[in-house]
Amino acid sequence: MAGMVLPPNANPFGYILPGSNVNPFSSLLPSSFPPGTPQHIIEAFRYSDKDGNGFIDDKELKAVLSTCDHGFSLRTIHLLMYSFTSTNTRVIGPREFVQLFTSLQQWRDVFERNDKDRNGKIDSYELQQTLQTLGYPVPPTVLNLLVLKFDKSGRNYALSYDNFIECCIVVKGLSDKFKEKENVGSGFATFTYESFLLSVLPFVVA
Amino acid sequence: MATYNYQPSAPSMPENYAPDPPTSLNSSSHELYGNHGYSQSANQGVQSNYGYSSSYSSYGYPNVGGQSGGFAPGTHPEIVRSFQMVDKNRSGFIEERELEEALSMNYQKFSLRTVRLLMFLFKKGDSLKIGPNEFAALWNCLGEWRAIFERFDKDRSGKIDLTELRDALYSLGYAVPPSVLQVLMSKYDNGSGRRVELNFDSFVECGMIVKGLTEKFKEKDKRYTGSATLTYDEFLRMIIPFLIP
Repeated sequence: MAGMVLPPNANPFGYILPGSNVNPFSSLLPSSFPPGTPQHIIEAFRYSDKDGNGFIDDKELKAVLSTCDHGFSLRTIHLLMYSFTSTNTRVIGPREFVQLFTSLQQWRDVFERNDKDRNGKIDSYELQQTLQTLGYPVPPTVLNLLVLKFDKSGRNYALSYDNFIECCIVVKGLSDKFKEKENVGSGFATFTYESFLLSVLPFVVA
Repeated sequence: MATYNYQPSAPSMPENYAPDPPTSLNSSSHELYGNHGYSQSANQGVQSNYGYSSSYSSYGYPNVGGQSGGFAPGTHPEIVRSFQMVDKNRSGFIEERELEEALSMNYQKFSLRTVRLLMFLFKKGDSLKIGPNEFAALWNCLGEWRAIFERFDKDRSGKIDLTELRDALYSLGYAVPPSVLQVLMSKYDNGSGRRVELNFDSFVECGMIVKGLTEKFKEKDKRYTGSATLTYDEFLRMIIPFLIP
């Protein structure tokens, strides 16, 4: 840092004020609740942070999600954390928690709205609608694959709520990776062998 | 719906490949071993003490097909016998559970994820079971991988580290970038702070994933430029089958 001339109100850890999402050093800054975070999310964070250390680790996250929804495996929790941080971190701070929590809420709402017959499951047609609403234009050929993959009951025609959440985590994660490499708006993404494996492996080896 | 009719096999070895001579092949207590032929067919260049390539025609077992139903002519009787031992319920097919038991008997305990990955890579179509010829291919493949693992586990510790993994994958024809190896190995990091090492089960899992994804990538990069341009649909379809639950 010696010799660097920083603008007057620059944070010494970055060139841009904290809170901006183009800060290349944002991972070094303490994670905090963005302004305007709904109170119930702040409370959910505090509730989840059982050891009170200001972070939520994978086990705390698993515990809290298992009370609200259904049980998730630690592996799914890790994948969830990866989808929101793009790292193998086992702890998240307030900022990531807000993003994660908001997404989970959104996924649940969409699930309930699309489970038209209220049987606690959505079939592949409803799944298509659901993913579309969430901004993921998953083609029909892939939907069947998703149901095959995520329907733990083995009957392969519908997803229960927790299987659906796992499916969303993966679809979101992979879609984000695709978008990173997409030639803007073209619908095509170019990967090198290395970037392909790096994008995909975290989901496959989770 | 996309299905992948996928026939994995190790890529052909370079012409001048010469494996190390066998060290402790006879010390294994594995059920499956035959004579130790060195097959130079395109798919099997590795000295292996498990199974035979079905092109090893000088043996010729004309009764094999009739006995066990469904094996290609020339399949080594050891494979047929193994299949019969593994197929506990005599259904003529191997299910996941049976494969898990068989692998845990012959090797150390295999994780269910690796068993599922193997089933996924070797089965045909949407079936949840594998038949005799698929089993033969799987068994042969595992034999090759076992030989490679032993070759690179120089200190015979039963584990290989990142450098040995890199070399082992290289010998199978996969030049895996170091960044990717790091991601692979990090999965097996139990947080103890000790160097990460893989046992045979994990090595098979890693290797199969690299192999599977690389083959998929190569299908989209026919001119071997090192890059592929994919649609969203293609991208998802390539990867989702590898998400072993």
